[in-house]
Amino acid sequence: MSSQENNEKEIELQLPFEKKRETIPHKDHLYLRVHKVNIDFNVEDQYKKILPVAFDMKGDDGLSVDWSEHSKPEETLSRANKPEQNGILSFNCGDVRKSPFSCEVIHDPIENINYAHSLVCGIPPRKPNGLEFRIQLRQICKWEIQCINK
Amino acid sequence: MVNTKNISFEKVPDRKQTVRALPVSDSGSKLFNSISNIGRLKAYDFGNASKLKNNFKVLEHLIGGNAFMSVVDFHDFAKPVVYPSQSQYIDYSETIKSPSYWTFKEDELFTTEDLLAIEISNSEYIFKLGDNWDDNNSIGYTYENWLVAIGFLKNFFKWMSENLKNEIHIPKIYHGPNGSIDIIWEQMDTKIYINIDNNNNLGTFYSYYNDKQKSSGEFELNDFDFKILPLPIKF
Repeated sequence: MSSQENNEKEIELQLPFEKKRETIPHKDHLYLRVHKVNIDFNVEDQYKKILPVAFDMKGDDGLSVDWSEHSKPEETLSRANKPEQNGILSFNCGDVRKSPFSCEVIHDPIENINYAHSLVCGIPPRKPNGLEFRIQLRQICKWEIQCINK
Repeated sequence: MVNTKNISFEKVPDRKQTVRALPVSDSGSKLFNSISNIGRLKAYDFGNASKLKNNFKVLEHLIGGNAFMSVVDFHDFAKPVVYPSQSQYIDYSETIKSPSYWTFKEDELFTTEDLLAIEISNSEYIFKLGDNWDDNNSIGYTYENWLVAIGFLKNFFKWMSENLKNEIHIPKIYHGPNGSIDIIWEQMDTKIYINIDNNNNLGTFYSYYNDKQKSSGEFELNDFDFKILPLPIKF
């Protein structure tokens, strides 16, 4: 098989997957898993207890979230490696698209695993101003499922 | 001088509560405790409780003047535990049973140095977080990186103590991204966040006041001036 035929084959495989991507409306919500190690259970304030590191990306693509149209908070929690050690935060999609965040929110389904998976892209690195972003993001979050300190 | 190397988190198996080993200071005058389910620091005076004083002397003797004690469930009982090292402990639950001996004192019993030492001891969990600590393949933290962050913080406090007359707020110390350490002051009107990234020899700071005023920047850990940093002091 020539390299051109190989490329065409790859494109054929990718296209059906690409077609599944949808545009997430501003009004919808995004669910973010928070591991209990990122919670300070000694802090009484429900939001200050969330460590800034909870809003750091795990890879280069963006912050992994689930789209509320295709997932309930309980379902997002159930996809954690250890659900009992996690909680679920939510924030509005439109809020992170506008200032001061100006992020892009992309539906990024993981085929056969999680159709709701999405990415919040454009999160600045910690240095020099990324800390501000994380604190502001924490301020627009709401607890859907609290982390339990066991 | 508090020897923080002997301070550690432990679990008391039969009580299922996290307890923290905390420094016991000079001559039995104070007992520090930080009870996780109460969530704030308090000091208790031994007062006339000779039994406690006697026990305290034993504790001091055991570990050469650097005694450490922790207390769980202040409402029902006191269970002091001495940590001669991180690998062993001696249980004194039979000798000190009731907190009713103690007289509550205000938090002013603590010096800034005491409170900072307690927060530093609370942060020792950080270098015990190995790889995959969040079940999401994040890398673990090294003792060296924690030590650099603590060294920065101690020097910052020393500089503020020597150059400013104001009282200093005590921060929280947490794990940050990619093996770095976050130092956070959120209990005052002006919020201050400092990240110490020893792997990249870089510090980052951000502070804000009521959405009206903010500052941020970065500095090299081996060459900077404390004067450029936002100051966590009481005015």
